[in-house]
Amino acid sequence: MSEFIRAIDGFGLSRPEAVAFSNSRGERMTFGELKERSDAIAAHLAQLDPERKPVVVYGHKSPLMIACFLACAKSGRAYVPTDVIYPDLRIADIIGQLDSPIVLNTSDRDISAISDAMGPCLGAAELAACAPEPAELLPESACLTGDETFYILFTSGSTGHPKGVEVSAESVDNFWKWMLERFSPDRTGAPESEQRTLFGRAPFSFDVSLGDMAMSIGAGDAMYALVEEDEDNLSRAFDALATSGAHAWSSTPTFAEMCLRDPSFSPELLPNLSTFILAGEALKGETVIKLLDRFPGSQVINAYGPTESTDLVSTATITREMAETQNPLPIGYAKTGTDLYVLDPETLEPMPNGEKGELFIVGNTVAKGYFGRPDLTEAAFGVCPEPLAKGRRSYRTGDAAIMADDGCVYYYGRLDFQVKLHGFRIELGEIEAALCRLDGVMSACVLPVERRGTLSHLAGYVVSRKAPEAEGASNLERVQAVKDGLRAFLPEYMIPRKIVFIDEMPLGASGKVDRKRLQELG
Amino acid sequence: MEEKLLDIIAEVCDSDDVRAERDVDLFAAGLLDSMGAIDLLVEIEDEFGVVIAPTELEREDMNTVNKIIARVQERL
Repeated sequence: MSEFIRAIDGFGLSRPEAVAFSNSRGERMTFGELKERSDAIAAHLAQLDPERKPVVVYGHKSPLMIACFLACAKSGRAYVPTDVIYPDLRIADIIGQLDSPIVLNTSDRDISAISDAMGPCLGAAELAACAPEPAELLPESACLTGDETFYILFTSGSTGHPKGVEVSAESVDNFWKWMLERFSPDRTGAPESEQRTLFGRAPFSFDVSLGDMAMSIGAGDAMYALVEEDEDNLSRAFDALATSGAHAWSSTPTFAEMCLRDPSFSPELLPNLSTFILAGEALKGETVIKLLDRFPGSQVINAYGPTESTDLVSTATITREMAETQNPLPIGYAKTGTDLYVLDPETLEPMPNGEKGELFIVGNTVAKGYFGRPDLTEAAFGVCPEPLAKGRRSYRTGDAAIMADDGCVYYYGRLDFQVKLHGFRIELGEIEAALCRLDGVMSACVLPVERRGTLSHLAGYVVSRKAPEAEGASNLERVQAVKDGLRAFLPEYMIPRKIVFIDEMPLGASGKVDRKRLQELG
Repeated sequence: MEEKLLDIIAEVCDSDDVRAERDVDLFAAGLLDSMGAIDLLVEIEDEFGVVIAPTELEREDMNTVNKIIARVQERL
């Protein structure tokens, strides 16, 4: 049985009344309820379909979603988290890549018609009410374990379709144990009366949310989430956060930066808050300084890790002195059970310390690969030379990095066309493919745009035939039509803020799009 | 002041269309998001010394060019 699941179940018995998860919508679930609900749904799943195929869980930061994740694991099924922030066509794409999956819909909207390829679709009411007989509850031996796939997390794919990263139960266990060691060393065996709360910002369709769960729920502590409609409105967000009592904070640097822009983001609002864990994009020194000024005595941790290695693989506590003097800030030292290597991306020879190369991750949390895509898996996994990998799983990140003599790693951006926009991982190729699916679009290229040294938004350059009905339309109307078209395939964070219509794509000598000349077009 | 403010909005939204289309909902049009809105408030503070805390405003209070101009004029 997955040790992570066993631990959470244990809290269900030892502290059944303690809150495991709550959100700004006022939904909450105790450890006791979490155990009871996940046991019931697990039994229900086993009756519904004896085949242990991956199950899609759809919703948004609800306690029922977490119960469904645990239920899948307990019934020996991988879960595939999908969020309401994704358009239906994207969910349908994910469902289509699986084998007629059962869909657990924890949201309040009916999604049974979004795909012909789904298996039975269970709604929130059914999930909340299913109550199997005691004899029907599953034994511990039904739970996922070892190399069985714990979850499949779909992330942006450069070919226009999301790709599913497959992570094993063992990797989740290894990751969880390290999270406790790193972030909650004093939490093991802490009495229920000293329960703490972690504010976790990431939607559950992102790997960071697993880290948030591991270090909170996985330690017998509580996790608190802001639902999307509250996150978009800082005054509502702050009202909600004030009731959270959060001790620790996990978000992107951008979200922390947004909150810092308001003077009321302070210990007065969040008196217990003493730890910030920031991941998902490059952290800037000025953000750290502002956090330390605003929350004196707090600890700011820069964390790094791709979905392909479960979640975080390195961390660094950033002091004020580091924030004032270092640029970039370190992403830190490899976690227990992981080795980081900086290699020459061509020859795969180790780069000397202090020289830039590609970051490779080797160790006990590297994913199994991309679901149903042996081609993509082969290109990125197991590429690290054997003398370094020593029989362990490895992943080439595509991230440029430098390693210092003491093993501390510094991040220097991407080696390809992937960007991190406000913490969201985006393959520019996926947006370009979506643009080319629109009527009249002949070619497209998407570029990241910086403001004040930070990635601010995306710009899409489009060569399109002007549709007859577009005669007389203003530029803004044409731009709107393109954005509306994209919204059918892409979540809002992938829609370029700027759309520029051009007559032809500037090409370089090699025949590839000349991105520099595009940029000059404004 | 209006011209300068228009420059700022056009720069943050990365669109010159907003100079003419002053009643378009900038959020619905995908020209502003939460972070963009805060960038805009920072630029306004830097340029005009007008401090507007993000929590003071609802989205509906600054979702068009005309509303943003009105908000800043109130405070000048």
